[in-house]
Amino acid sequence: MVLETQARPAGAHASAHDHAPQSFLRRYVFSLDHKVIGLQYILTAMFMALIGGGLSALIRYQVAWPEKAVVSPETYLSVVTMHGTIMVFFVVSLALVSGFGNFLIPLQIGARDMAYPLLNALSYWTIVPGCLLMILAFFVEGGAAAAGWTAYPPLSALAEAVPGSGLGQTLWLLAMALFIASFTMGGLNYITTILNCRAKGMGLLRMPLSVWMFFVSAILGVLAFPPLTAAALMLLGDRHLGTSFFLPGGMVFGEEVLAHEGGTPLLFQHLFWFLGHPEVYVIVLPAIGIAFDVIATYARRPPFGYRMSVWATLLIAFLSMIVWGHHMYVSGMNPLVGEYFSIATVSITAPFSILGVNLLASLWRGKIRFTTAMVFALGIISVIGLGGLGGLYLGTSTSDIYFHDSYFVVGHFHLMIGVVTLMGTYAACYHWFPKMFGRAMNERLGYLHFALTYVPMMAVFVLMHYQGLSGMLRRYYDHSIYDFQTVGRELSKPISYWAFAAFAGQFVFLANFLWSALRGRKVGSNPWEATSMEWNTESPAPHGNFGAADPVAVRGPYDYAPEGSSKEYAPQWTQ
Amino acid sequence: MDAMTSTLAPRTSRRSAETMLVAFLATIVMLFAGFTSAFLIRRTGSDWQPVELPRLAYANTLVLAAASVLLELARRRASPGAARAALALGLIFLGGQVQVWRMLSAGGMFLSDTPEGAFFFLLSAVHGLHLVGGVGALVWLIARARAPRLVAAYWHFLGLVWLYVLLLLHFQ
Repeated sequence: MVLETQARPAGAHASAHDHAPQSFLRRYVFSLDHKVIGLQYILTAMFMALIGGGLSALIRYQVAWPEKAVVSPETYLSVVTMHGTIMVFFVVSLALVSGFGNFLIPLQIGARDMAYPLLNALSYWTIVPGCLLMILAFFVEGGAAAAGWTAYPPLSALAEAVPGSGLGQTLWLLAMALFIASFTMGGLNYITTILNCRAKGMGLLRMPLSVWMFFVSAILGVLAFPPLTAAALMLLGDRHLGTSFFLPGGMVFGEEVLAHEGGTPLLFQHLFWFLGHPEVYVIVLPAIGIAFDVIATYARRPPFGYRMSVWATLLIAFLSMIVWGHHMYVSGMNPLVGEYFSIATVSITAPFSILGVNLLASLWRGKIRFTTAMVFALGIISVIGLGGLGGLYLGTSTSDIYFHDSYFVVGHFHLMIGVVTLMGTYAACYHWFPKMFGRAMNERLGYLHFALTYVPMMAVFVLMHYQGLSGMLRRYYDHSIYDFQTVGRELSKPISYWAFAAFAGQFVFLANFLWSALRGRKVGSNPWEATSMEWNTESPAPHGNFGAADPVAVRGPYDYAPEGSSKEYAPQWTQ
Repeated sequence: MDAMTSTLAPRTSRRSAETMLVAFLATIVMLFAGFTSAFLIRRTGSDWQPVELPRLAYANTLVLAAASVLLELARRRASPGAARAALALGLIFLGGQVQVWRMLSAGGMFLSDTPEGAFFFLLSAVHGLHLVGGVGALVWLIARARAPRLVAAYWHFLGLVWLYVLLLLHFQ
C-alpha cells in the first residue's frame, strides 16, 4: 500500500482504458473496474441480507410465540448476535458504503477509476472469505457466536462460557478481522481517490453531497476501526494465549477458579464503542448524502444550504468520535463522565438537525417528481426525524438508565441504522440503476416495494418504542415468565406480523432488481435529467467511465432552474 | 502490477501515493492510541508489576535508528548500497526483537505471566508486523533499482512508533 507508484508516460492515461479486458473472468469476476467491484459488493450484501433478514424473522417468531420454542435458548443468543453482526457489517456497510461508494465516487467526481484499482479488487476479495466464515460459524460445534454483536467479554473471551463462545466466536473474530481489513483498504482508497483523482474543474465544493458523505464516512472508518482492531487482538490474547486484558480475577467456571487476574471487561466496552458509535455515522451519513442527491434531482431544486450541510457533516463526524460513552451509562461510570457524554451526545442534535432541515427545505418550491427513488428519499427525512427524537432520550443519562437494554433502544437504533440506511440504499438503487444496467427499474413494483418497506418497518420499530416504555427488555428468550413484561408482550404478535410483511416485501425488490437488469425499460445516458457528472456518460457506464476526452466540471453539481437562463437545468459538464 | 497505477498520470500517481501513506499512517496512530488507552487503564489493575526490559531492547532501538539514517542517505543520494544496508539492519532489528522475546520468556515474563510483559509482547509484535511490511516494500524497491522515498518515510515513522512504545512502557 505504501509502495511508490511507478512514473508512467502521460499518454498511458487515456490509452489504458481503450481496451477493456475481454475474458469473462477478468471482466466480471476478477475485475479491477470500480463499477463491477461495486456491483459485486451489492450482490454479496443482498445475499447476506437474505440470511440476516431470515434471522430477524426467526427472532420475531421466538419473541411472539415463546411457547413454541422454535429455537433453543443458546441458539436464540447466536441468532440475535449473528443478525446484528451480519446486518451492520455485512449488509449495510457492504451495500451502501462499499457497494455504492465504489460505484459512485469515481463516476461522480469524473475519474476513470479508483486511485488503486488492484487494492480495490483486493478489498472485495478479502470480504468474500469473511462472509463465508460468518456463515460457516452456524455449522460448527456449539454454533455461531452468542456474545452479542458487541462481543463483550467474558462471554466472548472464555471459550467455555456458553456454547457459542467456542469455535463460533473464534470464527466471528476472524471474519471481523477480514471485514476490518477490507473496509480499511476501501476507506484508504476512497480518501486517496477523492483528494487526487477529481476531474478538472471539480473543486471539493463542486462535489455532490453524496461524495462528501462517502468521504467523511471513509475518514471516520479509517480512524475508528483501528482501536477495535487493538481490542480484538487483546481479546484473542485473552482467549487463546492466557493473558488477562479484559478478564478480572476470581472468575469461577464449574468448580474451578480461573487463572485470569486483574483485567477489566469495561475496557473492552470502551474500545468497542469507540468504533461502535462512529460506525453509526459511517453508514448513516452516506444514506443522507444519497437523499440530498436524489431529492435535488426530483425536486428540480439545488439542495438547500450545500455548504452548511458540508460543515454540519464535518462537525457530526468530529462529535461522533467523542460520545461513545453514551452506550455505557449503566456499565459503571463516574456520574461526571456520564454528564459529559450526555452533553456531548445531545449537542450532535444541532448539526444533525441542520442536515434534516436542509433536506426538508430542499423541497421548498420544488417541482417534485414522485419517482420510487424520490419516495424512498422522502421516507428518509421522516425516519431521521422520528429516530432522532428517540435518540434524545437515549443520549441523556437520566432517561437512558431507565431505557437501557429495553425495546426502546432496539426501536431507536433500527430506525437510524436500519431503516434510514436501507432506504438510502434503495433510493440509490432505483436512482442509479440506469448507470449499472442501461435499464430503469419497474416503477410500479418500486412503489409496491416502498409501501411494503416503509409502512411495516415504521410499524415494527415505532411500536417497539412503546414496548420499551412499558419496561420490556431486549435479548430475552421468553418474556412470558416475567410478570412485569406482560403489558409490553401484548404488542409482540402485531410487531411480528408487521416484521414478516416487511421481510416478504423485500422479495418484491429482489424480483424487480433481477427482472429489470435483464428486461427493464432501456434508457439513455441521462434519463432523470440530472446534473451531476455521472450522467455525462452512456448507460451503462463503459469501462474507463468517460469517452476518450477527460471530463471537465464547469459548474456545481446541482444547477437546477439556473438563474438568468431559460433552461430547466444545466449539467455540470456543459458550458 | 501495472493495474495499480494504470489510470493515473504521473503527478496524480505521486500525490495519490503520498495521500495513501498519510492516511495509512493515521490508521497506525489510531491503532497505537487504542493500545495506549488500554495500557493506561490496565496498569491500575491490582496485579500490575513493572517489567525490566533486557538491554538488548535498547540496543535494537539503535539498530533501527541506524537503519533510518541509512535509508535517508539512500533517499537523498539514490544510493542502492545504503538501501541494502538499511534492509540488513531492519532484519537484524527484527531478529533482535525475537531474541528479546526469548529472554523475557526465559525470565518468566511470557504473555500470560505479567500484564506489562503481555503489553510488551503485543506492542512489539504489532510494531514488528508493520516493519515486516516495510521490509517487503524495501525489497520490492531494491529489486526494481528505485530510490526509497515514501518507504523511507514509512520506516522513519515506524522508528518513532517504536520509541513511543519504549517510552510508554518505561515511564509509567
